Amino acid sequence: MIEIQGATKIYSRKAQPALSNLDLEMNNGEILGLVGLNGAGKTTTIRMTSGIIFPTSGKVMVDGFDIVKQKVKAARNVGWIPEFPNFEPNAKPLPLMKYFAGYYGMKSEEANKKIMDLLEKVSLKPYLNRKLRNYSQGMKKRFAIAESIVGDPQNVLFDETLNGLDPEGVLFVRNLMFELRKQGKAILLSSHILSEVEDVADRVAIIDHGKLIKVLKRNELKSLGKLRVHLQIENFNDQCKALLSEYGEVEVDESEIVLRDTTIQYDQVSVIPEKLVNSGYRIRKFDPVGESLEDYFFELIGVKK
Amino acid sequence: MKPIAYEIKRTLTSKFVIILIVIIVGLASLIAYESAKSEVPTSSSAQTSIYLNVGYYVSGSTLHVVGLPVNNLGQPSIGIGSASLSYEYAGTYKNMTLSSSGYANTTFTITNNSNTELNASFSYRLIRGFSNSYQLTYNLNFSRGYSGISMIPVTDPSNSTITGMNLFYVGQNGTSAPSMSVFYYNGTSDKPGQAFVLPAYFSSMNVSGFHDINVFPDFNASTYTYSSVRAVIVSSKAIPSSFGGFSSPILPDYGKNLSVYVSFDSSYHPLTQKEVQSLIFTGVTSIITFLLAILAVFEGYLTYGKDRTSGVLESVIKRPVSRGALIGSRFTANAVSIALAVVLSMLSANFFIHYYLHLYLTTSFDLYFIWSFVVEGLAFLALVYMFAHIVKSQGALLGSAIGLFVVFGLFWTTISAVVDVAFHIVSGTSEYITTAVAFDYASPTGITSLFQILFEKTVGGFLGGGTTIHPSAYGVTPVFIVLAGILWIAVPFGIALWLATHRD
Repeated sequence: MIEIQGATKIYSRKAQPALSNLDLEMNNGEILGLVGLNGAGKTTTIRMTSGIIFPTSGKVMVDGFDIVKQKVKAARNVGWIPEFPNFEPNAKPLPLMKYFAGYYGMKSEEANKKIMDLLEKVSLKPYLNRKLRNYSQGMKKRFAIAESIVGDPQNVLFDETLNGLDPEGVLFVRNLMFELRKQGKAILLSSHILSEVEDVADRVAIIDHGKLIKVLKRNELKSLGKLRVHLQIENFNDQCKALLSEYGEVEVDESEIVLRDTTIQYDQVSVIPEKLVNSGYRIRKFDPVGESLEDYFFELIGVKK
Repeated sequence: MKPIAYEIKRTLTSKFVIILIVIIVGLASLIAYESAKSEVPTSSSAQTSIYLNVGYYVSGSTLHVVGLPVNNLGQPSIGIGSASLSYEYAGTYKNMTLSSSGYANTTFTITNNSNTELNASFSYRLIRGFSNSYQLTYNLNFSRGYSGISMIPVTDPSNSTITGMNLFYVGQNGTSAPSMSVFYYNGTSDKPGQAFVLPAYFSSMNVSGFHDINVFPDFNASTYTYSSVRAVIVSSKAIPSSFGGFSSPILPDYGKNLSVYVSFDSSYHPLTQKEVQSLIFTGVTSIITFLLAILAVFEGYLTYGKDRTSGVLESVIKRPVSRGALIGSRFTANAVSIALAVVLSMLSANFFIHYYLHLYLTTSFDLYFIWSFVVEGLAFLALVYMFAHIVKSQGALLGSAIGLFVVFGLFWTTISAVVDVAFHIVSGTSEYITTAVAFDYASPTGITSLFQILFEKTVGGFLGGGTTIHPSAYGVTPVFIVLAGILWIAVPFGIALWLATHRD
């Protein structure tokens, strides 16, 4: 579990804070999506949580340990997969992994077994003799995944990890996240691909200009923004349109009726079909939908799509 | 694997580090070898010369000439790249080729006993370039019919502190030497031209049955100091008329009362520790000072600075390790390679010094040598680590690293000289020495200069030097040098450590 408490990061006095008083929690057994535009502060949040950079103020607690003051204990519980993995170019995967494993106090045999398992898992076993500088970006990402979880951390941070991966890689990462969540680990997924986040995240944190705008739970993802209802009514007429207008703006496109800018909440939407049926209208289709995360995201941060 | 073990392995297997260590140790070895070897032939005038032993015997009307060139170690042919030898007797010339055993023997027909001069013309080139030529004239004694014994000074090839004699004997009909005694004693008490009296303190050794032999009396084992050593074969009634040089072939006479003597004057004295240290200072230290700066600066850049500025280090920082421990382990790994280069250089220098001069540098010299160079390397390393946390880009860091090397490693002496010129400071004055010492304290490379000042008690410098000083009068004391070294490492490394743990 990771708790970010009032974290602020200022890189330069001349520039706006990269993060401003951020409060965020990553819970065990949960995938937290982190979305935001470029420069919103996603990577800064992750790098701060990994102990790569220091918060200017506030603190980051990893399973109860302060990442700044108790770096060694805290970092043991964090695995960070960076967006652009960067390793010693002349190193080969096996010795480098053994070196990394050494920081977790793993015994040689245990480390060897674990490393080989992980490299097999990320499909890099056939490339053990290749220097990392000769790995493709996708291979480096796979290696980064393996080396980040070599210490079996309780919290794993995926920073734009899905970028640059082939479909098989995307599927692998997604399944890995599910597997880690099943093991009770806390997962953070930062991504520009909002649909991916929407699909896997239990909660989604939206940040913009270094500030946390909103945290959405999974059940809220389906009812984002203003409700929109798609209807097909056999005996639709002006009276029916007037009735529907009580709940929002009615648009009619041949047989499809769309109720926009609704004034009713998602959990009260059932009153609409109830009233239509009571008024003698025959409903062939009733489909209440919220906005997509992407639409909602842009609406929230005030950017026109 | 322990992370520090990986760091050390990574450093020591880096191509750059391997190449630099090989160059440093190789050049240090080569210079030590050349310096030590050039000091080996210190006995008398031997140096790098070749001596030509020539003897003869007469058989009927045939003159047999026996020639044997030997080097200053008494070894035939060894070290001679090429030699040209010709004999002339009674207008007949014979060009000779040295046999595999080094001899150049020939015969002449004696047509007239009044021709008593045998001339030898000898020129040679040593393998390492030195060449010389000379002519010798030998007076033949047909009534005796053979040359007898001659002697030259030589140095023991296995121990240059031991000087000795090469005895060359051609007897009647070419026979080898009979049994004889070689007396040797301190010749300083000799008085030329006066009757010889064997001193109270002397030693002797017996030799026999040789044509060519090297004998090495144990002069140094004596309790007496032999500033001038003379050897006398059999008992003597008179001492040589002059000191130094070598007599012409001596005629042996084995009659009861007639003595035969040979003298040789040895100016040999073993190299003093100070002279050996001076050899190291003038050769080995200057090259190590220069190369070690390159090793430290670029090793620091390649294994820490570049990793830090390129982001590679983040893959390690995210591990359960403190930043202090990480920077410490990288620095330690780099330090191991620097210490290795210095220690190997020191060992190789000591090896060659001992091999050729049979001396070991003193432990205090060894320790100062190792310490001052390790300090120089670590100081450069610490400076690069510091800059790695000050500048942001790889390019800026590389520029800073090169700048450090250029300023402190290449041009520091020049800068010091420019300051001297600008302020009209004259070489050899107190101001000059003070400036030189101040500049030495103000540079990592200066630590080795201070070390040299401490040992040699002289100040060099770009404008000339060799001024003898009392080091402590100018603040050159072991305590200050150690403190300066510690500060040169601790201050930049401390800044790097503080920035690493507080500023990201």
